[in-house]
Parts: sequence; structure tokens; C-alpha cells
Amino acid sequence: MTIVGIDLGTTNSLISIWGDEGPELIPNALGKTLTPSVVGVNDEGEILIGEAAKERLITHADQTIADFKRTMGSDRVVELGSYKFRPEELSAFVLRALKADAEQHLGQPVTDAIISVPAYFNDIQRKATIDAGKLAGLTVESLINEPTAAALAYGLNEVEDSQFLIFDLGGGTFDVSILDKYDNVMEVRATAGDNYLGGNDFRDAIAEMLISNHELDRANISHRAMNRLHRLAETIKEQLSSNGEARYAATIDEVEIEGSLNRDEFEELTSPLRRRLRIPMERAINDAILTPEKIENVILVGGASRMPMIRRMVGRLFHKLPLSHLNPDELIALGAAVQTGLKSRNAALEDVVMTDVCPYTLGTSAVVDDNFQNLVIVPIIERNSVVPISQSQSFYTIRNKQTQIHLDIYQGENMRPADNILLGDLNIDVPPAPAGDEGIDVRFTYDINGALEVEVTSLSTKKQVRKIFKNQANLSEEDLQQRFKALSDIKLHPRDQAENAALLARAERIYAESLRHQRDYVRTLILDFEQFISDPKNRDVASIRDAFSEALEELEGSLFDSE
Amino acid sequence: MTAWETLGIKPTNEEPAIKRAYAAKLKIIRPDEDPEGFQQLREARDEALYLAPFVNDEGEEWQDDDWNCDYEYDEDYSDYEGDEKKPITFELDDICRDKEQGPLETLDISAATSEELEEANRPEAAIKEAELREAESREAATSTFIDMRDHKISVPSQEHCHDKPEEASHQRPQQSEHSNQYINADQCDQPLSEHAPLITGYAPGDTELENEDVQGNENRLSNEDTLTIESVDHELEQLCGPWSKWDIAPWHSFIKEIREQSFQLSNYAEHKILISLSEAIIPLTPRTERERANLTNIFSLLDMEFGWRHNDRHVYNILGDKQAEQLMDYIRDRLSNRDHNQPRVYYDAIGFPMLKEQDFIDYLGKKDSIYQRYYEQCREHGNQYQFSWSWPGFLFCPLWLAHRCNDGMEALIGISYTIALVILIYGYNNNNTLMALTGVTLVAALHILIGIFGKRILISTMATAFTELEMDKKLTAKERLLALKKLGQGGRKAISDLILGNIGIAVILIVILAIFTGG
Repeated sequence: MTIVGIDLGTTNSLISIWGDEGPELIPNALGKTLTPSVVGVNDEGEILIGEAAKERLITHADQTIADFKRTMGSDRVVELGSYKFRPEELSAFVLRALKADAEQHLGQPVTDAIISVPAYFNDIQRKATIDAGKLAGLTVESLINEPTAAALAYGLNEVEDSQFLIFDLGGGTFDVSILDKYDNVMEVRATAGDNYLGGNDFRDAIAEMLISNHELDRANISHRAMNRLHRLAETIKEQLSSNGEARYAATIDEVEIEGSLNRDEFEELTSPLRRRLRIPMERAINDAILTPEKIENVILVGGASRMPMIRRMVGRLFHKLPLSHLNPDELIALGAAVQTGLKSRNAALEDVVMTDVCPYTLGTSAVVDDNFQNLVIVPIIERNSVVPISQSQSFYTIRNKQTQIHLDIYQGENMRPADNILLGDLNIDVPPAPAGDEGIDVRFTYDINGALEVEVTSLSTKKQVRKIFKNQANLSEEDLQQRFKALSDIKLHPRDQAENAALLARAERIYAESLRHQRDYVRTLILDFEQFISDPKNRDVASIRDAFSEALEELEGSLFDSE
Repeated sequence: MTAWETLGIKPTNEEPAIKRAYAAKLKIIRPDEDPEGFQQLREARDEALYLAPFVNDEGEEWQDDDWNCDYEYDEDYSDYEGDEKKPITFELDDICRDKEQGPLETLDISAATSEELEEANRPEAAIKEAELREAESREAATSTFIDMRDHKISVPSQEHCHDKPEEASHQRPQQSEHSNQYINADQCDQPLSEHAPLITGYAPGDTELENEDVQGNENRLSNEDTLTIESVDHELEQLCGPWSKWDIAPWHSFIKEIREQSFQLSNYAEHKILISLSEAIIPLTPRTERERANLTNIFSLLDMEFGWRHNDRHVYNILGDKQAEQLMDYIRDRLSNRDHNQPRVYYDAIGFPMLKEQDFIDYLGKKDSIYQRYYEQCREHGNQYQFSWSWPGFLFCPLWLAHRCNDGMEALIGISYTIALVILIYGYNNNNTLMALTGVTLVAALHILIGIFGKRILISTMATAFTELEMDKKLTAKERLLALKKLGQGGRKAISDLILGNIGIAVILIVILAIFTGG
């Protein structure tokens, strides 16, 4: 049985295998290892995948689609010609093409695969990826986090025993992982990321600049012209990687545009994006209980890390020269192949053990304040805990003669249950008793393949209820999708004073970024403050607010030097 | 089974050894095959890594259950992080390239530094002058300081926090105490946040510093534009550019200004300076003569203004052991040729030594903010005996004092109280109205006295302890800190000691009285 490793990227996808001499990339029909993640439909109603489709992006803009990885996990349906496709189906086409390449190359059928996903992909996005594999006729053995894969590819030979950071800026996603390598153990210490930030955002920034500088009609720009514009922006971006200045001239929607862009302007243009890049890095470093100085190597992965600006930024933040592979886009696929080798216990890899973490916090909701008014998340497995892991916590009834306890299972970092992703729920019966006398023990077990098992035991009757939330979830597809959509439409509660609301929002963001003690501390601050401002008897809101904001100020020291 | 047994090693304080043992076991206990075993192994490793700093070289663990006293473990603790620090290299190239010739501000200002500095400098002065000139002839001091900031300023406690033991995670949702429990139990959620609002509570102009170092401060203090946190922040941001570019001139005026107004800022400014300095300095060694000269100058200034070498208790508190040790060593090293051994305590206009937030926290331990506020009130009104009623003092009298401090005052009050009580009881039992009345009056008087002066007594015992410790040359910073903590922070043990002692005294008194009156 052959297992292949697949890097299903936003812009390009690759397939690889653990061969006799280590990981190998498998070329496609055109002899290239990179297959663009683009799908199109031609006039005969046939599906085009890869390079061919990419070429048609401009010419047949309505019949071609790229960047669909970004919509994975949502139910956004795309119309291509006469078809309608979900993101999983589009990904499945790419997987099918890769599978065919591998079968051609190996001369035998390929049925099993390990697919890489951004570390910060949530459960739903992971499930969608597995579904895509299934649609392509592949059994997905397991998913591997992209930075972890990169670390495997890079770390096995080229990095000495040390703590290092993988900075993976792909086309559409950004991941940061901190790893510790010692004695043939590769340990992921922490992972963080931004699922909606990648090289394409840098490209789009240029495209935006072109639109506003040349006064193109933003509202009426055609799909086709937009694709052209993106292509032009891409070229400019690539040129700026090798030259200090890029000149351009093109005709977009019958408007002649001509001009130039230099590196400084580009940096200026993308400074908000670079700010966003820092957030996951700070979080990962904090979670790994490290400081930037203690990170001995920084490895750049992903096509977008080719931008000199990114190298410079990373160098400045860590005060050291980042390492990068000759082909940063190939690294993840190579790593996925290493993982297949590990999986099949290849002799060459017998001694290597890899441990990974669960990137999100898993918990349930409960009231923790005196008045039973505020339902908040109680984390049970904190993000960046090493998996497999099993943790339990006790909860008690809050009403007299309560006969049932309802548990919602959440994934996410926010304090309010509504702001997190609801994975599912379960109920357990308890005998009626005075409030607080009956309790349950809730045990979360997260296994190495990302399946979560929740086991609830009544403390008095010892009755047990179990539920498994795994990638092949027993929740219906629609159910999950609806909830995900609900999450993206989160509205802010209207509060009387904007200032209080802003402070609370900030506090909740800090809550999301912190762990353990600090989390409890922030939660207490928030609940106290809320209680205070909701009580009309309190007049001195201003001074309490000041105190609150000072406290937040203290909590939020920046980890990095400012640029 | 202990963590060490799980890992199959003897207790050790070497982090690599623990990791090696873990790695070896991991080859047998694979995460994908034996999840439970793996979790146990991993937890054992985490526990061992946590315990490692408390294991001595012979492999014995500390058997002390007073976990609050982190400072005692400091030597072992330093092993824990010791080998991980690596020097940061700044890009000096683009910093030192500025060849533009201009008026040499550095010279002017070093001439303008106070006499004391020059005197203190004497042994090195000649060398330094030469160094400075040489440096200046090579690269002129530029007079702009608006550089990119190259230092992080953050709350240092966070990393420390994570090293604390996890508390039992049983959660009773209907009880809210537990959610506060972490915060109360865990002192490393830095007190700064609690006290931050106090910083702004001063009116400028009230403080006069009796200090020979600060001259012309009347002008400064009557001046309306005082430093704010923001301005200190801003200024530091500008000053803490690449440190090779640090110039003595703006630092001099800045440090002086902070020093003069440090009371309005409490130790925030010092905190900021310390953090930025240590971030910048510790990992570096000066490479050029100019850098060395700059650094020495800044240190002598800081030492002059803040008494840094002797104020290392603050440094410890702000930076945590390891960093502080390094910084202090560094400072001592830099200033080693100076005859500058006189410790100093600064007194304010009303005769209090200048206490800072951290002193209150060290001494009082818990709920210190009330007393800080009282102290500040006193300063504000220029009156040592500012009236402020203390209910707990009134109600619990000597017990409250014992709960608060541990340096003799509580025993004094306790004994007086016992005597009064014995008189009262004795008078009552023997139907001696006069004695009973005297007893009642004495007891009531003590209660009221403590009610009125309780806070004041606390502050003055604290001030005395602080002054004595601070003036004691022989003590190291750590010893001073521990001594201050021991003197303050009464608590349960002090209370029980007080009660037991006083029961003894009461018995003796009763016996004496019985013999005396022949009853």
C-alpha cells in the first residue's frame, strides 16, 4: 500500500511520496511539481485543472476559479459554467488530478493520502479537507499541519537540535509554529495563525492601489478585468522581489494604466498586513513560554516568504537572519511525505518521534459568577496542549432540584460562548438535589488524529454519557455549516457607551490571546467591570473605567520591538 | 510514582537530562500507540522541568512548603534559564555611520554633570575623557535621537507566571471565589495593575525633596508641566535607540527629571527604564570605545540619581531574579572603581523616607493599597499624623497589628492590652470598681488609639524597617528583601505567637497579683 503526501495549497498543490532516498516530489503531466490550484470548465463542459485552468483565469473569468481554499469549510457555492460547486468539490478536482499524476508516476493505484492543512484550520475546515479527499477517491489517513510538515522536511537534516520557529506564509494562509528538536524528538510547542492572510493579500493590496491610483471604476469593474488586474499585481509583486522598482503598463477595461512602484512604496502599502503577521507570532511565542531571543532559528516557508520585505521584517523582529529553503513552496509537500514515512514506520525514520499540539482551546460553557448571569467558556483543553491529551473538570448544578445538565462543547479562544464555534452538545440526567450538591465530571479526550471524545460522568450515580466529535462528525453537514456561518455574522452587542464597549472588546481579545492564570484574571476583570457598569447606582464609572483600562494596559505588553 | 520515576532518572536540575530521558522513553511509549502512557510521560516531564530548579546538585529536592518565598531558590532557579540566553546582535553598521561633524554635545554635557559624578569619576575620568574624545573624533555625536525603538517594554511577570504550579482545576461553577483564587494566590499578576490608578493621584508641587543631589528643584516642581506616564514613555522611546548612540546629554536631563518627580510617577518610570535598559544592555558587550564610554556614563548617572547599586531590591522586584542579577552585576562591574559605598535613603519634606509601591507590597504583602493611599494622603497634606480611622485596627486592636506586621510593635501593644485586660478582669472578679473601671478605660483607650493611629503606626514601623535595612551596607539586595518581608507580613503565625505569649503573660500577671493582694 502506498501512502502519498499532498500539499493542498491556496495557489499551488503538490504531491509527494516517501521513496527509497527520502521524500520525493511527483511531477505532473507537464513535468512540473507545482500544480496551480485552479479549476475551470471549458466550452465542452469538461473540467480543467492546474496550469490550463490558470491560463484561462483571465480569458474565461466566469468559468474559472482560484483561491477556493479560502472558502473551505463554508458553504459558498461557485457557479462554473453550468455547474455549481462547493469548495470541497473544487479541492477534490485538484486532488483527483494529483492522484492521477501519482498513479501515472508509480504505476499503481493510489488510495491513501496524508493531506497538509494550515495549522490554524479549525475543525470544520479540516473536515471539509477530509471530505474533499473522499470525493477524490482517497482515504485520508490523517491531516498534518503545514508548519509541522515543513519542520519535518527541514528539521530532519538541516536544523540542529534547537528551538526554532516556522514562519509559513502561503498564498492564502499564515501559520506560525514553534518547535523544539532534540534527540530525534520533534516537539511542536505552539501553533498560531491567521486563516485569512497570505501572499494573495499582498497582491490584492497592489491591485487596490492600481484601482485607486488610476481611478478605475471600482463598482463596475468586470470580473475579467479584475483577474487581469490581479495578474498584473502578481507580476509587480514578483518583480519587486528581485528588483527595487517595478514598472508596469497595461490596459484594463479600456483604460491605459502605466506607472511604477518601488519597494518602499510597497512596504508602505502593506504595513497593515505586516502588522497582522505579528499577532500570531506573539501568540505562539507567548504560548510556548519563550521570548524572541530564545528562538535559535527562524525558517521561512511558503511562496510568499520570498518577498524581501518579509525576510527583513522577520530578521528585525528576531535579530537573526531567517533561514529559507531554495524552494519554499515545496517544503510542505516534502514534509507530508516524511509523515507518510513515519506513518508506515519506515526503517529510516524508526527513531523519529513527532508530537503535535491542538491549535484551539476546547471547552464547555458554564456560569462562574455569583449571580449565575454570565455564561462563559470554561476551557478544558487549552490551545497548544500536546496531543493526545485527556483532561477533566467538575461542574455542579445551579438550581435546586435540577434534573438535567446540558453541555455545549465549544472550540475557540473567546470568552463568550456565542463567539466560539459550537461543536455539539449533550445532556446528562442527575438526581434532583439542592443546588450545588449534584455534579458531573467532564472529561475531554483529544486524540492524535484530531478526534474529540467527551465523556460525562455523574458524580453521584456514576452514570456515563459519551460522545465522539471527530472529523467524520456525526453532526450533519448542514448543521455544522450553518453554525459556521452564524459565527461569521457575529454582531457586537449595542452598549450605551462606546468607550466601555471598546474596552470590553479589547479585554475579550486579550482573553482570547492569553492562557490559564491570566485568562482567569482577565475574566474576573471583565465580569467585575460589567457588573459595575450595569448597576445604575454606581456613579463613578469614569475612575473604574480608568482602572480597568490601566489593568488591560499592563496585561498587554508587546512582545516584539516595534518596527 | 513520582515524575522522576516515570522518567526513569534521579532528580536532577539539568534540563537537558530531563529532555533526554523523555526522548528515550518516547521511543518506547509512542503517542499514537499508547496515548495514556504518553500523557503520563509528558506530564512527568513537565513536572520534572518545573521541579528541576528546586533540586540541588546532589539530587535532593527542597523540602520547604513555603512556596511564596521564591527568592530563596534564586540560585537554583538561575540554572533553569541559565544557558538559554544568547546575545542579540544589533545592526551597528547603519547606526555608527553618521560622520556628520557638528558641535559635540556630549562634551558640553559631561562637563555639566554634577560635581559628585566628576568626583566619583576621578579614577577613570582621565581614561574616559580620552575615550570620549577619541570616539568623538571618529564619529560625531549626532544631536537627534528620534530612532527606531529597539527594545521591548513589557510586563516581565508573564513568563514567570507560567512557571507557577497549576492549581487544581476543579471548578464549582456556582462559586465565584475560585475565579478570584488565582489572582489572590498568585502574586505574580503584577501589583502594578492594581496600583496604577494611584500614579495619577498627585498634585504637583507638594513634594520637596531634601536631597543634595537635586538642586534647583523648586523651579522644576513649581513648574506646571510635569512628567506623565505618556511623556516618560515617549521620552524613553526616543532615548532608547540603538544604545551605541545613547548620548549622555538627553539622558542626563531625562533621568534627573524623573528622579525629581519620581514620586508622582511612583516607580513606574524606574520600572520602564530598568526594563528597557536590561533588555538592551544585558545581552550586549560594548564593542567600541564610544559605546563603552556611553554606557559607563549612563550607569553612573543612574546610580547617582537612583542609588541603583544600592537600590537593587527594586531591581529584583521589577526584573525578577535572573535578569536583575545580571543587570546588577553589570552595573557593579561598570562602576567598580568608584568609591560610592554610601547607601542612601531619601526623605521627603515631612520626614518620611520615600517609600514606593513595591516597598508596601514587600512589607505588607496583602491589601497594601489602603496604606499606600494613607501614606500618600499624609504626603499630600504635609502632615505625618493625617487622621484616618481604621476599623479593623479599632475592632481587633493587637491582633490586627500582628496580622499586619511582625517587628515588635504588635508585641508592645499586645502586652499593654493584656495588662489592661488582666486589670479589668481582676477588678471585676474582686468587685473592685476602681480597678474594673481603669481596666475598661485602658482597653477602650487602646482600641480607640489603634483605631486612630493604626495606619500611622504601620507606616512608621515600615519606614523604620525600611530605613534600617536600606542603610545596612552588609546586606545584599536579596537579604534585604527577605528581611523586609520577614519584618512585615505578620499573618497567622504572628497572631498565634501573640496570643500564646500573652496568655503566658496574663497567667504570670494574675499569679503576681494574687500573691500581691494575698488572694
